Order: sequence, then structure tokens, then C-alpha cells
Amino acid sequence: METQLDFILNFNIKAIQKTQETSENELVLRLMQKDRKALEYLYDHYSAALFGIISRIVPAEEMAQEVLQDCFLKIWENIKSFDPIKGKLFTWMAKIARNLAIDKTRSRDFKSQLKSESPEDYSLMEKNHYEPSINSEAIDLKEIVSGLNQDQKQLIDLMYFRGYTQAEISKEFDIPLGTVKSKVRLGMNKLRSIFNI
Amino acid sequence: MKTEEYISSGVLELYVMGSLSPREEVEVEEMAAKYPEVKEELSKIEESMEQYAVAHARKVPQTVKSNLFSKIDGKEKTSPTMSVVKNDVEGNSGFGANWLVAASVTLALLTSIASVYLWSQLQAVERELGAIKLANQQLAESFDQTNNELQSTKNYLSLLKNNSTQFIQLKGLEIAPESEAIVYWDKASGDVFLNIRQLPLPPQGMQYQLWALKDGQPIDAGVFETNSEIQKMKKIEGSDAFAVTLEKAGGSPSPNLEALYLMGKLES
Repeated sequence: METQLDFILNFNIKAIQKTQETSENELVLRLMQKDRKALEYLYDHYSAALFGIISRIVPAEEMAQEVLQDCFLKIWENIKSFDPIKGKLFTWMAKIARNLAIDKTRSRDFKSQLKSESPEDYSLMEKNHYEPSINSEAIDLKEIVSGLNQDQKQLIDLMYFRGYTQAEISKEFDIPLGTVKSKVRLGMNKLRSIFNI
Repeated sequence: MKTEEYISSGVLELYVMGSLSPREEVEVEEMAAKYPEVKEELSKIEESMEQYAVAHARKVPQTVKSNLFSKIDGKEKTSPTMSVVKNDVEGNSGFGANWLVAASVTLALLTSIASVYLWSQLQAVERELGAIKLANQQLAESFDQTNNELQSTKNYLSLLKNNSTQFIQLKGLEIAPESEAIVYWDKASGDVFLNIRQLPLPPQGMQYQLWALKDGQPIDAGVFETNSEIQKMKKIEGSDAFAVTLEKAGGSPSPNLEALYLMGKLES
């Protein structure tokens, strides 16, 4: 029995090694092998960023923490459904975080309350909750805020941190779909120059 | 160039942020699979979105981590894992239960391996598809070529069968007595076909030229190559004889009679 499992494992390893040899894939591989240390690494490196997403959708602290936990549990259970061909691990995790947070708000009927806040209120909220990044090398939030214009940042944040679809934004703020997309594109391009990507 | 428009539309940004419908997402994934520049752009957007998220990170209390991992450890203890299976195999518990646990573990592992294996296979299949498409293209090109050759051969055969076709044998002259050629001339249509049996390779920068001779006047019938194919020459209305001279590459308006290689008269 032992040798059979070893064989299966080795086969598994080789199959993944066929794809890009990046450290991310190594991490994914170890997660698939249910390597606890890999999950710890994942948590240490990404929990704060994911919490940033979750807590902006679910403002209540304790509830947000619950969602973060659920998020990592879901990542742990569902790692085999991550498809590296489609994109990066973080994009996949962020999506899980966002969706869990949105589900939470729906279950507690937060939705109408949250979306009724006008864009001005939202940016005020942002200032109150700002905390410095745990990674000192990361670009400062202030630098980003100064780099993007208000429209661009609002649109990006509504989508990325609140989970609005482009259709929802277009409808609610009375902006044509094309404008939404192009503003986001412009904003993202600015971000990329700030980040040197 | 079509991808430029696609990329600058902003749809990729929306994809990364998760604001597209499932159907729109599939579209993006298809584009990324098809065009490497789309995939590349997507990667870059993902990277910067990650940085953006990191910049907006918020501290998490330690308690969350400890709660999480006690849950994880609890799960791993109760649900089947490899370590559990190893222990049981050596232990004293009932054989039946062991076997079931081992079997379910194997099944779970196999399922996850299958999915991993499948997406690595998908990459291999995509590469193969690319190679097949290329081979297909090359095949289509060679088919066209073969088709053209077939058409020429058909023309030649119909010419041979034709009653109005004249066969003129060209014999080698002093310069190259071994030379031999045949001209097939269809008097009705004027089509001329040349079959070179033997002719020395022309020197660099020179080419052989066929002439039709009518009433002593040379008429240009075109230049030709010395490979063995039947070649179609220029149309000739009336002729008494045919001759071949060696000229400068591209031919000349009147023949160089010092370089006369082949000659043949029509039977009258």
C-alpha cells in the first residue's frame, strides 16, 4: 500500500512539474499534498491582503474574521479546482474571498445598506480604516491614491473590493458600459506604471 | 492586430477583478488560450491587482490564525489522509475498515491526480493542435502545387492526342551533339510544348531560348529551364522549324547564331 501511494504521489509531482516551474506551482503542489506548512506559508503571505478585500465588503470586524477563516478553509479544500492555465493563485483566492464576503452580506441583508452609500461616503470610510501594509516593500496606499484620479479609483474599488459587476455600476451610477471599462483600463495602466509592471 | 483592440477595451481588467459574468469569463479564457499576447497582458494585470490588494491589506489578529489551524488539524485528524492510512496498515484494527479507508483515500487521490493530469494534458494537446494546424497548412500548399502540375500534365496529354499536333524532333548541333529535344506544336491553337531530353546545364547568368523559324525569320518562343519537365512556351502561329540558342539570362530579341544548340525542321 505504501509503495502504491508513493507512486501516485510521484506521478502527481511529475504531472505538475510538466507545467511552468514556478514557486507558485510548487506551493500549489504542496497544498494539493495537504502539506500544512504550505497552508501556513499561504496564510502568512496572503491573509492580510485577502482580509483587506473581505473587510471592505463586511465591515463588522468579527464577521469579517469569520469569513477570512472560511476563505482559507475553502482554499484548502478546493485547491484541486485551481487551474494554473487560467491565471495566478492570488486571483483565484481573491475571488473566493470576495464571493464569500458578498454571500455573507446577502445572508445578513447588508446589501442594500452598503450600496446605498454614495461614493463620497465610501472614500471617507477608506480613510478611517487605512492601515499600513505589513510588507514594508509594498507600494504605499497613499502613493496609489495620489496616482489615480478619483473616478478611476472608485470604479476599481467598487469592483475589486465590493464586487460590483460592470453592469451594476453602469446602472447604479448611470455611466455607459464602455466608459466604465475604459476608465478602469486607464486606472489600471496608471497602477502598472506606479508598480513598474 | 485584432487583439490590440480587445486588450485596450478593459475587458481583461474586469476579468481579473471578477466583475464579468461566467459567460464573459469563458470568452476571455478562450482569447487568452488562443492569443499569447492576451495571456501575457492578463498576467501583468493580475500581478498589479495583487500589488493593489497588498497595498490595501489589513492586519489580522493572531487568534484568527490559531483558530483556523486548529480547525484544519482537527479536520485532518478525523478525515482520511495518507498518514492515517500508513498507521492503520501496521496497526491491529480490523482488516475490513483499513481496506475501506485505503480504498477511499486512493480514490480521492486518484480523482485529484486525474484533474491535475488532465490540465497538464490539455497543454500538451494544445501544443499538438498547433503542430497539426501548421502541418495542415503545409499540406494545403503542397496540394495546390500538385494540382497545378496535374493541370499542366492534362494539357500536355490532350495535346499529344490531338490530331493537329506536330512532333518536331530537335537534334543537337556541333556545340553539343548529344543534345536532344522534342517540340509539340498544336497548329490549331498555336500552343507550344517543349520536352528537353538532353541539354548541358547553362552557365551562370545564361539561359536557353527557343525560336520558331518562319520563312527564315526567327520568332521568340520564350526562355526555359533545363529540368526534365514539359514546359509550355509562347504561342506560335506559323513555323517551318524550331531552334534553341544559348542567350543571356532573360533571353534576347534575336538569336545568337554562334550559340545554336538544337535545331529541327517540320516534315512538310
